[in-house]
Amino acid sequence: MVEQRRPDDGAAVFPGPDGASAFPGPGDVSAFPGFPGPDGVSASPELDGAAARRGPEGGSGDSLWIEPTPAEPAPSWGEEQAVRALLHRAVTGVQPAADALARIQRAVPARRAHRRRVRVGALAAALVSAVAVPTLSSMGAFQLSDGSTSTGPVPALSSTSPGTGSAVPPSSESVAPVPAPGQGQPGSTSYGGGSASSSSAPPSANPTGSAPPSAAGSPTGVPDCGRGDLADGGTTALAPDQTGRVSGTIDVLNSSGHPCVLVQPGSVYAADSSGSPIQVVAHVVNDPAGSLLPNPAAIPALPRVMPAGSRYQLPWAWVPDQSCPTAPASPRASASPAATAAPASPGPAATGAASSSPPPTSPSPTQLPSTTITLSHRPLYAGSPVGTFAVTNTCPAGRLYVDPPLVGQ
Amino acid sequence: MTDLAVVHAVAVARPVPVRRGVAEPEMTTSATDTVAGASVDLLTTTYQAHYRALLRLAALLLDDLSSCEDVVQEAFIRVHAARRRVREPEKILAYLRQTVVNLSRSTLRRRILGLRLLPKPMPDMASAEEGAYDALERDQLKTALQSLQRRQREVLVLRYYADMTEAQVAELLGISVGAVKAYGSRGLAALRVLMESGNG
Repeated sequence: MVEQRRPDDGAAVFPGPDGASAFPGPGDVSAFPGFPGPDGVSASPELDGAAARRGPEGGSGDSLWIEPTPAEPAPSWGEEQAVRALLHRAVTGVQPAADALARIQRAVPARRAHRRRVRVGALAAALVSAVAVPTLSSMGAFQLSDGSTSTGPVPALSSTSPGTGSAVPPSSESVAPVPAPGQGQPGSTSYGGGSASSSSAPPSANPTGSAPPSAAGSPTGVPDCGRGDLADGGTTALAPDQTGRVSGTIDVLNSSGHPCVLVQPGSVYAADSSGSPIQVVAHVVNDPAGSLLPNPAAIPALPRVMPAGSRYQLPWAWVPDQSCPTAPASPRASASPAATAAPASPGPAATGAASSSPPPTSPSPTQLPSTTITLSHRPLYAGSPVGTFAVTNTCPAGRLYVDPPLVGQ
Repeated sequence: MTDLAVVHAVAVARPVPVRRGVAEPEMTTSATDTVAGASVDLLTTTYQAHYRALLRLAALLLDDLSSCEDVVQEAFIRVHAARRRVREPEKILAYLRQTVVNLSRSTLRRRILGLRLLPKPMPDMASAEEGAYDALERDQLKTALQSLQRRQREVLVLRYYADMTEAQVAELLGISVGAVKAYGSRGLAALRVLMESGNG
């Protein structure tokens, strides 16, 4: 239908001259309908009506409106009515679109379905993640090799080695997983070279052990490396450089006499002599340990099968903070007596093996107190640490950088 | 709807006070053919009761008609798609108003951000029936409303077009009653000045 506006719409808002007498203020009635319009519209009946309403006050109301009222009194009833009428008049021509209801009627079920889909999708996503995350983590996000997902969890429960003590609880230290190789997918294709030559170990009644491990097939039949299978292969370190950085490698040896599958590369952790944790981070190309460690992207993936007698190496570098004096009093690195098997080298023994040579030069007054940094490697996240090493007389603030494991020589 | 209609009729004193009762017969006939379910019936009822008033409310808050249609339709869709809200029919108008105000606000904000630089002007629908004076007044009011502060405009429109009480406006806008009073009186004063200065 058409909004047919009557010419007397505006005038009808106010009951007329008798109604004007009820307005509290003289200027109120001239509020909106009677604003001075252009000359061309002076013939409009509304303006006539407004002028009639204005009546005896005439045009005197204008000056009242210009004056701002600081106290902001409540708007008068007449003005409110005027605004009300004005607002309603202004939108009388606004009509709904012809298809509005049909559109809404179509859209409401669609929106409901959409909401339902979103809810169901969120629920499904939550379910999937609830299932997938434990599965993935049990598969080992830090796994060196692929495909060995059916090997089950790390034998953490069965790896309680008697008598080792594993003195430093991991919770008091900063434990970081050994970084995965940055190059491509972990696979067994990189297996070869020196490691292949070392696979001449006797198969030791393991029929699959004689299979060339370089084959990409899954090493079914080869047992997982247990904690007792891996031993300390000796830890080496270079002398500290000018800025006190120390680098070296932790070697882990398959001492079991048979090939085994390395399910997890394990973790690296570090602590200072008071037991406070030291941050362990994965080495990247441009970090402060840059020149000391090989580029992690260039390190090939470790083969999954460790032949008997083979070893892998974990490159590490200790970098004191910039706040430490740049020419420290020759922090000395001393290898722990780690040539023996793992149970023989717990953490405290290594710390005790720190060299007793005193710092030769007097430290500067601003030098931080020197301490001993102990780093250790647990090959399978469990058991006693195998590659324990101490950096003595170094600045206590710093970071330990580690690389993905290399095939040992 | 009833309070709105009554005040509407009283305030403007239209010759046909109960307009909505006879309004849009073509709407009702076109709507009933797709009715399917109780909620759709409620939707049709709500539409007939409130759609036009809400569209005009949006027209006072916004400045182009297509945006108004979008805003009000979206408000209807949102409110009716939420079963929780449909369960309380007495509150549907409040939900619809609030959604229209919020959507209008965000529409204006989007426009300010430049995503929609050139709003289509409100079509001059009733110009054939009304005089040049009415058109002038309407345009002047539109311009004046748009140059008010957003809160002032919202308070004025809700108070004097939707005929809500100060407490209702305060609840809808999430501000205090005192703020509604202040916005209202300042908005009235500003509107008065704008209208008198004949902004064009």
